[in-house]
Amino acid sequence: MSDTLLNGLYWLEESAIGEWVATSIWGYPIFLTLHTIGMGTIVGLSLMQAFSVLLPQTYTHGIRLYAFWKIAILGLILNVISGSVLFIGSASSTWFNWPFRIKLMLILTGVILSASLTRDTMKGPVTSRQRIKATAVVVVWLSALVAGRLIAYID
Amino acid sequence: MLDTVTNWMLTSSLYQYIQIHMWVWPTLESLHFIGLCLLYGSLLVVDLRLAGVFPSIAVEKVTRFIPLTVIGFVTNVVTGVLFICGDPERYFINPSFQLKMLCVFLACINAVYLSVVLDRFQVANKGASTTIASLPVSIRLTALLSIGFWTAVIILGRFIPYVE
Repeated sequence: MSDTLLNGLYWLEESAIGEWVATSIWGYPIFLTLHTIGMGTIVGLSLMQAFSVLLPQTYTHGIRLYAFWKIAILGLILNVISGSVLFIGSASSTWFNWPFRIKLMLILTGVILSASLTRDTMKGPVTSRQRIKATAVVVVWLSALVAGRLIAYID
Repeated sequence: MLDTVTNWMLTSSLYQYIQIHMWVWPTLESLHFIGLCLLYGSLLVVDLRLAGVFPSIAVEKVTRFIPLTVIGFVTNVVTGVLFICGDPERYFINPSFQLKMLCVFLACINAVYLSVVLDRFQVANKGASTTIASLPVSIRLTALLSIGFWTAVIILGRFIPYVE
């Protein structure tokens, strides 16, 4: 582990935002709540998009559900901002937490897959390739949720 | 009354099981969050449309997502009850939990009212396209209220550990 990285993480923790989140009564719960609302929005709408591809007869593929992707992006922005603030509050410990690292990779993968699936659903009928992608969207986002929960339980 | 329920839960085998097995709590939390995403995601699709957002989408097509809302809700009720069974002394006296339950109750009443007014609207406009932006104000307001109630449920749920 490089000293530069560790110093950077300590610098983040000792910044005004880091101190505020870690020590104030309401800083952490407020940003944790915003993080949960953002999560419900981006993950929830991504799952709905995936279900509309996996079960097109039930959830009517092609009803312009991709229009909701703009709302999902708002949720993602809220998630990234609140998640960054929460990370700054405990950067030196969170950075070395494996569930956190796995969660970040899964979120990145989930966003790329969901954005790609959204583009696909604008084109026309459901293809087997889209179904595979939609299955991956469901698996990746649900895994990200589980990894996020495990941050508090596994060092 | 609450003391009796709490004591009964504390002596139950379910309480012992949740306390002893350390994998149970994170598993319940994971399922609770999966339920939350199903409930909130499907509600956003249905309620935003009913509130007048994306008027080019037919109402009867977005309402097909309601079963996912129900699945998410049932998942959260089951895991929520197990949370209470696993730590009854914490929840019943917690003001954030009490307000959360009030909001869940109001959200359910609101959902029943919304389904009634939506049914009446769809019967009255049978055959007409619902892709037009002409939903009654009562439906639009109730849909917005639904998003508000469920967002409040998330906020109050998150604050439970911080207002003890």
